[in-house]
Amino acid sequence: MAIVRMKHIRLVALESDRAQILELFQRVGCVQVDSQADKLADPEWTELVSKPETELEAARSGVAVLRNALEALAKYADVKESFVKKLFTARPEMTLTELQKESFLSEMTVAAGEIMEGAHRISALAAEKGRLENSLASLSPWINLDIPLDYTGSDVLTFSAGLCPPSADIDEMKRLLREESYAEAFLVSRTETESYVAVLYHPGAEEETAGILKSFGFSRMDFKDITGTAAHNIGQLRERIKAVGRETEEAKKILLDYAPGAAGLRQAFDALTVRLQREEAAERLLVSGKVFLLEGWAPESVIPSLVKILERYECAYESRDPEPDEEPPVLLQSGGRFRKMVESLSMVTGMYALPKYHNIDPNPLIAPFYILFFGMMYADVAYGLVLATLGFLVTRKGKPKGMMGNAFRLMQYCGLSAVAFGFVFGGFFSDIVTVLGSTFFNAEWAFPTLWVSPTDSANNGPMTVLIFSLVLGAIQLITGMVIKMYIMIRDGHPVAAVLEVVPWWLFFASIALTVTVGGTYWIFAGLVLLVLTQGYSKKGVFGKLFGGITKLYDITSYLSDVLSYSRLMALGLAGGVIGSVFNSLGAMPASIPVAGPVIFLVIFAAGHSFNFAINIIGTYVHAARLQYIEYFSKFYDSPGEPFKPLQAGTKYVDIVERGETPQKAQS
Amino acid sequence: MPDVLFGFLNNGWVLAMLGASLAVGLACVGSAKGTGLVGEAASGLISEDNSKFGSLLVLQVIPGTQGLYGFVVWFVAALIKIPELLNAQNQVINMDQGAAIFMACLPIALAGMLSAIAQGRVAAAGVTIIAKKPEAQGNSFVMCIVVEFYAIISFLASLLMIFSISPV
Repeated sequence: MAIVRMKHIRLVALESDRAQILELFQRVGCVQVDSQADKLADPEWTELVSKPETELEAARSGVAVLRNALEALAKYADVKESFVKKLFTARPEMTLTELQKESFLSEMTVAAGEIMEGAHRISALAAEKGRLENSLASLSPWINLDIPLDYTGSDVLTFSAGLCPPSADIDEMKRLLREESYAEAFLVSRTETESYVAVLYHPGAEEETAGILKSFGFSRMDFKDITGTAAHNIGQLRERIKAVGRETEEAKKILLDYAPGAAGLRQAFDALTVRLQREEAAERLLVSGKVFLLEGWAPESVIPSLVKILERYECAYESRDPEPDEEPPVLLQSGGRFRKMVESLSMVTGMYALPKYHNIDPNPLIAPFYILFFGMMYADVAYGLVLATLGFLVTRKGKPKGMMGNAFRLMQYCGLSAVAFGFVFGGFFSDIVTVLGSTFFNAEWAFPTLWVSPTDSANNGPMTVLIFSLVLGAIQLITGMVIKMYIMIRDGHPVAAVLEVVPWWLFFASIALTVTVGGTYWIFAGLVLLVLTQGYSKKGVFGKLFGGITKLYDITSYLSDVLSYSRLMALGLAGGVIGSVFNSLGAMPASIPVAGPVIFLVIFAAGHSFNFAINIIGTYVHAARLQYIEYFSKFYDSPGEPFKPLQAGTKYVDIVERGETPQKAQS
Repeated sequence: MPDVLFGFLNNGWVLAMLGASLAVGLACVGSAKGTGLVGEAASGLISEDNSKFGSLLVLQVIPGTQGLYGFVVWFVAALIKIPELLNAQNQVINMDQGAAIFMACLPIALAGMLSAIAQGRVAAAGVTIIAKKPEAQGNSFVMCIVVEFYAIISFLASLLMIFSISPV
């Protein structure tokens, strides 16, 4: 249960062995390969080393092709895995060797290329369809014009077609044209936004006609290269659109044929991702002639298995402890019976920040509090059971890894804790038992309450639970201070540890004595003690005294810290009251025969689903906040750099090791 | 207060009903505004990428809870406490009780409305987080829930005050 001890490693090996060594490291999954870019800025180093040649770009584009192909299948062939199904199905297990079979990969890459071709064809067809529909829309107002659109007139006649704004008075325009330029205008069609007009006039009257047309806002329509009548063109366009539709369907059918092969594509995607991860690590190496240089970190415990791997190659390596001014990467690892429970708290820690290497693993320290607080705020037997069952099923069936795995594992414990507090505070779908009894059976039922219900003001319920919350808070804060003391003593500052923490406890005790025994001199003694001790790190008598006085301000921060735990009562109570209002709402129409109970069930199901979901978010965040703000401020030193080993990070399959391969350490 | 205009307020029952109405009305105004803000921001993103709809919907409903809190306070005041007092006191609620229920409704009416709007702003900004950095969407929820807490405590303050009013 601790922050894993790291060793800095350095390796010089042959370029020809590079690919193999990196793949073996990836299988072990416990070596972080550091970037050495700073060396390339140093002229002394650049004389010796240079960046290696890698296949990073090829690996990247390989991954991109498969990703695009999978996206295309999802879009056109409806190959999607539903989120729920993904949660409850475990991913197939494969070894790295099985995954990376070359023949399979090239086959899949070819398939992906063909899928992409199909997808491009579909999008090209969609673009063509869009263009065709645009032309159709612009031609359809002219469908009644039986003059070819490319007709411009003869020696004695000019033909022109165009648009007028809807405000133009076409009859007036016709009259003016007829009277002043012997021209004739026809209204072809009219929409709300446009009037479509054709005009015939003598070429000699060009100027007058143009003048009149201009005054009515006429703008000439340019039909570009269109020949023949509008009706003829429209017929052609419609046929072409139909053909495009058919071609699109055909192209989609081809993609549908690939749909059953999606699983293979996903595997190939993972295989190429794994290769990309190796190439990215290779990019961080330095090369000099026929050898490469690797620098990085590895947990102390895996060094022997790394040595075993490296013994097979011609190479030189060294490992050393981190130097005092170095910040090694941080990996949290737990042992013992509660390992899985404790590690699931990485979800909470990870959302804040990892501790620094020389600090302390917070997971075991927040585990009891987080689970307890969550249960107290979510206190409901039914909700807790649903939550725990959901967490249990997903963990067992879907075997999620990483952050998701932690989330669902934590869900089980938090759910069970909520069940326990549900019994303590008497919550089962809030007060459904009481409501059912009084509405349908005319009986006074009640869910058993082991201690007190926070909604029961007759028995001083809210106050009792509030004080209980504050006491829990005080316990957590004092635990935090003990941890601070432990860290300071461990790091060789025993005197400072006692001076930082113990006077505060004596001060708290003095408040307790003032309240219980009586006599204000207790609290004054406590204050004097704080003033005398809290400035210990300052220089000079006055410095120490002044430092001590300013530290008195921390009293308010302790006060607000403790009060902050009132949220334990507040969130629990709010959830309970909202649930019980849904119950009462549902019970209102219950006297109606048949429909009454049905309405009750509908309101019950909808209301409690909503309350269940909205409270998970709130409870998760507030339980975490108490750790981050109140608890961590007492001892936590962050952020630490997370340990990012070269490992096979896959999305669709789980990598397993079978047979004679180096033991994989937990990470 | 001129009696001609506001004389009807010299009645405990009317005052209590006014309080209950404000609790649900103002809190719902806030929630409508808050969820509306998020909906507007989210629509822009959905028009480009519909796959984020799920997370965006969660963001959008978060400022909706204040309306629910206001509704619960209304329910407890108008459908439980007021009938309880009327039944116990010959269908009369005196001025003090009416004023007390009115006052007790104020926390969720005011804090519910304003916190829903404030939360809507945070959630609307969270839409940007989901657009640019989908892996950080959890953090955008967290920042919304911080605002939620103040709605919860004013909700509880209203509720506990209403519970504490008893028939004479």
